Amino acid sequence: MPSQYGFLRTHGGITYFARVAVESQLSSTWTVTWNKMIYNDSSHPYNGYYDTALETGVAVAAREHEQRGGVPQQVEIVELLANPVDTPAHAVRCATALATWKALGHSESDMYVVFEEEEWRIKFLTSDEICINERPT
Amino acid sequence: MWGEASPGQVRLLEGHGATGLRVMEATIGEAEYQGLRTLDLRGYTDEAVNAWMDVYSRYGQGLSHSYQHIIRPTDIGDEFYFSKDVFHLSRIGR
Repeated sequence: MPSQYGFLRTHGGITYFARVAVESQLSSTWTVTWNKMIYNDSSHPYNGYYDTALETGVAVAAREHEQRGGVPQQVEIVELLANPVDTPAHAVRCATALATWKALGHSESDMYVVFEEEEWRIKFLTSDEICINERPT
Repeated sequence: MWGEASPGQVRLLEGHGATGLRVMEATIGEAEYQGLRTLDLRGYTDEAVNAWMDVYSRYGQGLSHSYQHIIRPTDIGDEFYFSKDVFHLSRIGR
């Protein structure tokens, strides 16, 4: 399933940005690839700077997916839009996790991002919290 | 453009694969600088900065705006953005 996420958050006056597009399909094991990834509209070569962030972002979503009974998937990172000035690794990690989470068939409202210890981090709502959020007002 | 170049900025760009970086100095006359339509995002709330970036920057909708000069904080110092329409007012040195 294709999915993308544009991460744009400002904390302490500083804006953080990353946009990631992924495609997922059923697989016997978890795999993450980006062999054909379009990086910044192909205007610059990708030198591997965000490799760990891409892997970790998928892993964050995969771990939660499995805890909720999901099965392994092959996740292909198809596009990454980043700017060295505004795109630290943690922004790519969050964008990747959110794009992957949606590609796995989940809702963006299951998770949220917080800025702690100088970086953006993904948090998942528990089933109780989701029920509270979905309660009619 | 930045107010001044720092080793951290150079290291960051080199980490992304840039090579042969050279710091260039640009100057603009005081009166010309003061006459620019300027938006200074420093001191704005996070929500206000985010909302502006979401509408007018290429990170969001990328709608056009009339500012010629935008100042905003980044992780590596304050960025001084100039519209290409006012490049002719600056002088590029070494």
